[in-house]
Amino acid sequence: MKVGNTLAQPKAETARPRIWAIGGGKGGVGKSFISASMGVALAKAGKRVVVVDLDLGGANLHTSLGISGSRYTLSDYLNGKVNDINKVAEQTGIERLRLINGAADSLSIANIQYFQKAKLLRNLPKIEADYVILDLGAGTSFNTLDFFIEADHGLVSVTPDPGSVENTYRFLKCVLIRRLRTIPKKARETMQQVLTQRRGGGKNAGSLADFVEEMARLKPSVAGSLRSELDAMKLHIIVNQVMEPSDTELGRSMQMVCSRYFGTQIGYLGFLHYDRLVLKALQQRRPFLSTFPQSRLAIHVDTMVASLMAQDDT
Amino acid sequence: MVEHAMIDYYELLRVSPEASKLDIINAYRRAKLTFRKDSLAVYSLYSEEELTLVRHQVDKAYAVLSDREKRQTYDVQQGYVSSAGFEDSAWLDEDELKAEYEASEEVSAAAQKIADNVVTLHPRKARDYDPDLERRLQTAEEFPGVLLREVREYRGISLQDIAQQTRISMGYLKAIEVEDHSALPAKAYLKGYVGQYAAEIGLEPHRVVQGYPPLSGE
Repeated sequence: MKVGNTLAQPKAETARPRIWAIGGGKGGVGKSFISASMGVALAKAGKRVVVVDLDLGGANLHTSLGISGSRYTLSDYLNGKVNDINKVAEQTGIERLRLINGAADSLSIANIQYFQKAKLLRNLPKIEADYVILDLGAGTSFNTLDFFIEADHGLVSVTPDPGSVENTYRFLKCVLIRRLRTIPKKARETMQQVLTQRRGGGKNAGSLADFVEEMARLKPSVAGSLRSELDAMKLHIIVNQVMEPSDTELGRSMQMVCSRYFGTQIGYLGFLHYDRLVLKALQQRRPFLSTFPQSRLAIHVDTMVASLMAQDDT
Repeated sequence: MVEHAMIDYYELLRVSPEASKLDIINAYRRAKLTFRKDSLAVYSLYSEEELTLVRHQVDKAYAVLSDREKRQTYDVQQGYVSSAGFEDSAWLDEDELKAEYEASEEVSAAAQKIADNVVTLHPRKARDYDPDLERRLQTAEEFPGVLLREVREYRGISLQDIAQQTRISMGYLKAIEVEDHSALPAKAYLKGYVGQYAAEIGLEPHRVVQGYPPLSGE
């Protein structure tokens, strides 16, 4: 265990870790499973990885990794009990893979304060690792959205059922709009204006793509920064729990719909089959990927991770 | 409402302006699949009317981009190509194209509805409730191809639907219905195919596999 050299010596800045966030509107679509599996896959590929459970109030990433409890959790860091984020990252029993456990008995953990969120956002890049994976909770609360937006890559897990698809689009909509929050205030006012005008017009909400287009007409300068903000997002879809062969089309189809509706390119990372062995591995409290390294699922996860890593390297 | 002239057909189908004809066919099929009625991928985003509009645009885009001359004119119009040096390499050999067309039944089958090279998908038509057939299915021990076909048509499912769902080729599906031994795959595969087919038309796979004559013989 080496925690010693964090004693703030301003040495040559080590490269900050790549941050991947895994989100998606609905619960039960496999966010924790994908986070854990990608963590294992990255570790297997020789990277130092920290997976962070940010499903605050509903944390169970540790279960996906087959860990029952840890000495420190995220709340110890947020409460200031531990003052170095690297100290709460605990070994998982898998080489190079560490976990920041989100499970905590504190009642308030689900509603962290603004300053706590800011502290976390500021310090995530200081984690000593090559990759940091954020496992986010369901829903579209600002806490969830903000972590997702700050990540280098945002992955969205969707299962082939209408509820999940609907929530995925809602989640993406919220992510993009929240992202646009960072454009200059003046532009934001104009944006609000356009949005309310649209609503007044009796049309249904209208697509984001239409909105950006309309902005281009009204205020070309604003539209430019809108576009660059939207393009800066690196979003990816993963279709999870595929059962029918036709379900595999969903990813490409959603990609097509996204480019039309949101006017932004969204990547399609691949699909994962439904596999009852996942449940079995969970029941045995063992991480799926290291328990069944030759399974179809494991191979698909490895491929996804490799393609994302390749995108980072270029 | 967006004017039609403003829609970029290449953008609509998500292909590059250099796309080959094959790319365009594939993109068109994907778009039709994506924006079809009851499509999962557009759930909660588009209303039925909007979907109809999108499909209409997609058809229009395909009508232009799949036609050599129309595409050429369009490219010049949109400034993708200068009228002088039109690049011809995107076009495949006619024979290759023909093969591709034949491989994709749904493209060639119903192609004649809107314009002469635009596809509309068949709407399903279920037959009225047939107590006699239902009773026969309850007790049937043999499931010959003709019965399978009858049930499929009764349920209003087209072979294309099954092909789309199961990814079994149309050739095999047709052979299963007519029990064409020369065209059927090896037994091991056939078993799986018949089972999947049965599941698609709402029959119990194991019963059908057991009762399908080409599988039970010898």
